[in-house]
Amino acid sequence: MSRQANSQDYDWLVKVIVIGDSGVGKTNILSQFCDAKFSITHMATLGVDFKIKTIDVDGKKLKLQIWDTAGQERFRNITKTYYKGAQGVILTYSVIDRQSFQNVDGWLRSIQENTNSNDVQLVLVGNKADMSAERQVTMEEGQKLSQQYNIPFFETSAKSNMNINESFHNLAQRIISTLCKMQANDDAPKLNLKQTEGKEKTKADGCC
Amino acid sequence: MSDVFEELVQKMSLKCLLILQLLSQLYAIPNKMVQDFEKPQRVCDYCYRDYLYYQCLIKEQRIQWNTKSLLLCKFLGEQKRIIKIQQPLELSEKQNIEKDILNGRSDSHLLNYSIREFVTQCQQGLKIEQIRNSIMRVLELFVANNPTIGYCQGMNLIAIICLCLADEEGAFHIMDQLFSTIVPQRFYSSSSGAYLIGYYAEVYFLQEIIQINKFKDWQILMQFIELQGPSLLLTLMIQVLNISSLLVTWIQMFQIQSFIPIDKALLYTLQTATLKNIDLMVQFILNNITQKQVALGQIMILISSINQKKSQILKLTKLPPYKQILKRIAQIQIKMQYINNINKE
Repeated sequence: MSRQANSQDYDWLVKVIVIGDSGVGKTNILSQFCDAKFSITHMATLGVDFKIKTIDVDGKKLKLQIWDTAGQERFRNITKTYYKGAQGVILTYSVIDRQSFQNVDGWLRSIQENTNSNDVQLVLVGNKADMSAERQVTMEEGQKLSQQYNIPFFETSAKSNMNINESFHNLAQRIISTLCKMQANDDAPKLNLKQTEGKEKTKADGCC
Repeated sequence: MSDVFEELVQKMSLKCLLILQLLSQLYAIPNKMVQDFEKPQRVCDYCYRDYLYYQCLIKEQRIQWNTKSLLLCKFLGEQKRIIKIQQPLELSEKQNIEKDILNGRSDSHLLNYSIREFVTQCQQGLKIEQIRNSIMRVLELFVANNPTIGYCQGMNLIAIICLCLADEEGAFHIMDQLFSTIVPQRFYSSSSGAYLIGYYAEVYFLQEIIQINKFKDWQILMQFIELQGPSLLLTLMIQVLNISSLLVTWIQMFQIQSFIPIDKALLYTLQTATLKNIDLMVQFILNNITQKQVALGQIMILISSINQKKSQILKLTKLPPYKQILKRIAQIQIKMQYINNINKE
């Protein structure tokens, strides 16, 4: 399990999960976003791993707890248990793996079945866009699918760090927007979120 | 939870750095800690002991990648082994295996320190394609022969260890015996709606042991095992134990034809990790385990209490509600299998 040390205060703590078929590059998307690292080979994720990163969005500090999940079909029941409490989902497919694109429908159904989909923000990500010679899914197909489900869409490359930050920032902005709306409607207790501004600042004002 | 775990790991690493010894030769690709690979490397007492153990093992047991070692008899006995059937492999299974092997996701440099060093040494002099192809062939043969189990991530690591101890045929037979007689039923279940159902049962079983025996920080351990269970159990502790502890555990597992040594090794690791920094490299780890709270008698008491309270325990399940009944039946069956195994012992 990975953790990024971060002593900064934050305004919101949100849970984001990264899902998608095995081998689409979920772990590398996370490594690139959180640690600015990419590795050609890495061990397949068994179960779950997670990283933490705090980002500034619209003047608010958002602490993202990002869960990297296993993609193999056999881990679906395990993955479903991680959906609980998630406010954001990065749904990933690989542009060089047509099957992973075709399985996006299944992943979306899984999200609908296991979350309150109105409260959960999604981003559809077509990874490995740098591998143009092996491309099996066009950008238009990705866009069409995203429009069909009304989800923002990015073609990314974890290798060349293309659109990785943009994807997470887009998701983060919409999460904050949802949280603010919920708070305004006094619906905040329904969400599994933690607004820690007061608490953390009290700590900082202590004797030490 | 992760903070606690990472703190423990850091403490262990610090201890490793404090007690230094010179190591004559390393084989694996160095990690970031190694500044100059050409110079003799420094390792701690624990790693050095582990190193000496498997150096001796490699020499005495004639261990080499994709070669029948003398250790193979400890796993399979002396009987002749013949592969009788070979069925065609499903395309999806073939693709899943290829994804994990041909893309380099099973290369030795990705393994943990001790296993990495051992495996790299066994593979010395071979081309990466040869190594990957042998892993592929073993897994494909295993899946063709066991289509109901299929390929699950984690099996690639098991195949790697098997190929260090035997040739492709022997590695297949080790895996075949492992999955047919030792690993709990439906542990790697590929049935839609009941994926890994046996694994879930095992996790609940271990959580109950942790809770009933009141391990230190048992609540944290229960969460930890729930999150990290797949990487601990589905790999049969390959990425968790060092090679000496792993081989002792596996040999014990084959000798008594039971999964219990893995349970014991896991519980012992978790318990000692939370209590204090105990030398987990001790070769006879299992002897120590029996002296601990996870002794056999207690497991039996636990299992009977599990069966008595099964309805209560099953309420704790966090699996999706569908197929719940089927899972409950399977869990009870697996618990009964444990009782049978213990009775046999």
